[in-house]
Amino acid sequence: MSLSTLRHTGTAGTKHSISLLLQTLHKWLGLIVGLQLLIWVVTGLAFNLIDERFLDANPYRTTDKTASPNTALAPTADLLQQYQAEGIIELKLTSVLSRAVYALTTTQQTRWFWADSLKPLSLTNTEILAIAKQSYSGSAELSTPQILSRETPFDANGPVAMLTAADEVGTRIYIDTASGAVLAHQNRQSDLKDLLFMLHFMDYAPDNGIGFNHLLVQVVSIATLLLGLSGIYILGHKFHQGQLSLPFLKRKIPKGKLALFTQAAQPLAEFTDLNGTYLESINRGRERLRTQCGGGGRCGLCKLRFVEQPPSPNDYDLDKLTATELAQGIRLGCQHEAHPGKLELATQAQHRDWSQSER
Amino acid sequence: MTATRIRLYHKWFALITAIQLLIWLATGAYMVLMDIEFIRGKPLVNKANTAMYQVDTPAYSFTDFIEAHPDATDISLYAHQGTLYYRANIAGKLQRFSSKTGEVLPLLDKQQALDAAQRGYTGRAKFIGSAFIEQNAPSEIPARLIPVWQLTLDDAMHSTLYISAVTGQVVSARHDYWRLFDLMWMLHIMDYETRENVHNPLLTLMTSLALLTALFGIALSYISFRNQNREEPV
Ligand code: FES
Repeated sequence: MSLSTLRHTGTAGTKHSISLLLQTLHKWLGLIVGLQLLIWVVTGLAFNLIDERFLDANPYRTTDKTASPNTALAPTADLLQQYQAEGIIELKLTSVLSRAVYALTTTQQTRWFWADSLKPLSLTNTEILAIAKQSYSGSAELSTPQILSRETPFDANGPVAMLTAADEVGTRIYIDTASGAVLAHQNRQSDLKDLLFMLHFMDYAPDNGIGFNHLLVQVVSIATLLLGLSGIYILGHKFHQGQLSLPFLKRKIPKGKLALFTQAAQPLAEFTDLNGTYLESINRGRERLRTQCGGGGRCGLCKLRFVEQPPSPNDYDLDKLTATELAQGIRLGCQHEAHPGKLELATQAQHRDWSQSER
Repeated sequence: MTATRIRLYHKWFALITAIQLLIWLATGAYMVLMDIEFIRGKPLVNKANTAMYQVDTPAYSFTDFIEAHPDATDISLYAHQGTLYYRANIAGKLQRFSSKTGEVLPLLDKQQALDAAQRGYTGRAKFIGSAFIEQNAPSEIPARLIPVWQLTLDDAMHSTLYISAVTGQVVSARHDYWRLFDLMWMLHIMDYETRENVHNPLLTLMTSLALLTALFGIALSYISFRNQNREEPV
């Protein structure tokens, strides 16, 4: 027995060390990225469950089909001549507050001009307020526009003006002062949505818009992918070892009792509800055998001595137990399916913990 | 709850959710690793290539145009193959007009579409296929873009440029990494039909189970790391 066990240790060492290694990797990755995985799942569930209406940025946004401009249009020749050196791409006719506007896009930039005078578009506070009002269907008063000095997530061409409405969702309206375009409505609902996206994308510096192509989320997602892959490998390994057979699909449920003795061969307890591993059967209802890893085969606290016919050791036994222990018939209680038979505790500490658990 | 239970639950919930969890992780990793601008085909096309540096004043003015089409919207004068044209939506239909006479111009033929694509395309691959699509837009572009010319390129990622058959402008650029991204997104949100409904019940179910897997996993990692330094009793 002892010789064959030793030889077994030698060959199993290389083959099975992968699963032990992966289990350690899985544990450490879980510690490092487990919380982010939880955040992903929780925010994912939030996106799934929360009705769009409660995250809507635009409950008061008018679907603005602005009235076609009724102002006279100046000829475009001068504009085109002036900027053709930059390369003309497009000249669009739009309008701001019913006044026609030319938006001239060159390879360099886009510029806006009042189409009646060809003067560069510029807006007074009153006009900005009027644009905001036009986009807002609520009844609350709008604040005076405030030009933001901080970076914004918007694709704006000029300074961004913000107006707030004292409605029940706290609407904020953003306007590009270069073009007079309404950049966005936001409110407390959309803030929640942004927060969820921030957490899901791990973008904790979202001033320039919430993105998911940054290093932090890339590194963490690869680490988490490894967490998943190692987990699947471990599952496959456990399945291979017969630790994933469904209780109700089992071929035969072992009948009979499991008798447990002290190291001094004194009767300690008997178990008849043999289901799962020895550890699970013994700890049913109460933690009589203390464990640290909860049955992962990693702490070695669950070792028990088989008085007769020990099962052949698996890779966890081989990893945690010495050759002498193996030869004595000691195995990890969490690694073998419980069968009727005689077992002994294997350490002093187990006796202490046992009597503590009985109290 | 004992450590044994926690490990047991973690194991069983992991078994149920394993495949989907792995799909989420793999598709998520793909999506964060691929530059979204590249995915959207931005680098394939340069709008500035259509620019004109010598512009003749259009004989037909915006004022003329509005008089002729008072109900037109989205009117613009744009550069296409060295000439300025008007484009506008009239009664929901996009049309192209001469900037000399104001007359409606016909749809682009294959050669014109190829020329326009050649000009906007930034790569070196050859155009090897073309199809005119007037109805039943392929699922990789929005239906509102048709009619379009679908021009396929002879490159490793099967790039495809879509040229508006009305205006000659490049309206979309797709390639295999985009197609894969789209597939990944479908798998990520578990909506296998429209690929856009994140509120589907299957996702609710799997996410809830995954939540349990993660929670038990975190509890387990707490257990495994507590008393880590305590001497193993002999
Ligand atoms: S319970 Fe930890 S090794 Fe068995």
